[in-house]
Amino acid sequence: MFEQGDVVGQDDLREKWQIQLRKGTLDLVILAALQDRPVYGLALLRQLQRFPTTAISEGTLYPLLDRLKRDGLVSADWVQEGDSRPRKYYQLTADGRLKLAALAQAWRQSVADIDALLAATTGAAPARHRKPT
Amino acid sequence: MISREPIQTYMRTLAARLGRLDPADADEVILEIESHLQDVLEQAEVRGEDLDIDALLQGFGSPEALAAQYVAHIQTGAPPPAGFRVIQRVRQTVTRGLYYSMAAFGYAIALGCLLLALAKVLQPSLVGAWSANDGNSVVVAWSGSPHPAAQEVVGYWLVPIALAAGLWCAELTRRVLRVLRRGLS
Repeated sequence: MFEQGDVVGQDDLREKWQIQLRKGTLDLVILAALQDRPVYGLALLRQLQRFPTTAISEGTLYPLLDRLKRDGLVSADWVQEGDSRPRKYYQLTADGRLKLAALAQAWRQSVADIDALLAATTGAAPARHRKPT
Repeated sequence: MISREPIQTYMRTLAARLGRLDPADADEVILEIESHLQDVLEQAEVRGEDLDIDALLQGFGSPEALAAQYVAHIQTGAPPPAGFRVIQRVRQTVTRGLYYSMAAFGYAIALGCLLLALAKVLQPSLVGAWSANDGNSVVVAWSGSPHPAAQEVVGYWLVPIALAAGLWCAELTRRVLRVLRRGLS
C-alpha cells in the first residue's frame, strides 16, 4: 500500500526525470516540430506545451531557436499576413533535416535499447535489438 | 484593459542588456519577443481574459538572464586551444592601446574642428582656409594676423563645414570604439 509520501516522492522523481529528458532532447524536439512547415515562436511554444515531456518556457525556446539558427540548422523569415503583426517563422534547412534524421535514429535506437533492457530485467522476452550503425 | 507598463519596463531592460550583440541582431531579438508578448496580450483581450502579465514575463525569466543566453556564445564560443590565453592577453593589450589611442586621436580631431568653427565665428579675419602656392594647396589656419598674400577660399562656409566634419569625426570615432570595446572583454 502506497503512503502519500511515496506518491509525492514519485511525482518529484518523475518531474526531475522529465527535466533531464527535456534537456537532452531539446534539439530533437524543436527540429521535429519544424519538420512539416514553418512555425513562429508562439505557435511552436504552444505545440510543445501540449505534451508534458516537451513543455518548455519562452525563456528556453527563443535563445534555443537563436542558437539553432546560428548553427545553420534552421532559417528564419519575417512574414506579415494581412494586417497582422509581422512574425518570425522558422523552418528547417538542409543541414537541419540531416541533423533531425540523425537524432531521430539515435533516439529510436536508445528507446529500443532501453526497452530491451527493461524487458530482460522483468523476465519478458527480449525485444529485437538492432546494432548501432 | 491590460496594463503594458511591465512589458515596456522588461523590454527596456532587455534591450540594455543585449548591448554586446550586433545592433541588428539585438533589434531582431527585441522585435521577436515584443511580437510574442503582443500576440499573447491581444489574444487574451479578444477572449476577454484577465491576463497575468507578471506570470507571462516569468516564462521568459528575468531580462538579465534572457539576455545572458543570447550573448553567451560571444563570451564563450569554442574552447580555446593551448596557449590561447597568452595570445588573448596580448590581443587584449593591443586592443586596449588601440582603443585609447583611437579615442584620443578621433575626439581630438573632432574637437579641433568644432573649435575651428567657433573661432571662425569669433575672429573671422584670423581664421580661415586660404589658397596657397599658386592654388596648389589650401591652408586651414588660425593665425595671429590675416594671411597676407593669399585668397580665402570658403569664407564663412568654413563654419558649417568644420561643424559637419567635427560631428562626423566624433560619430565615426564612437562607432570604431564600440567595435573595439567588444575585443576588450
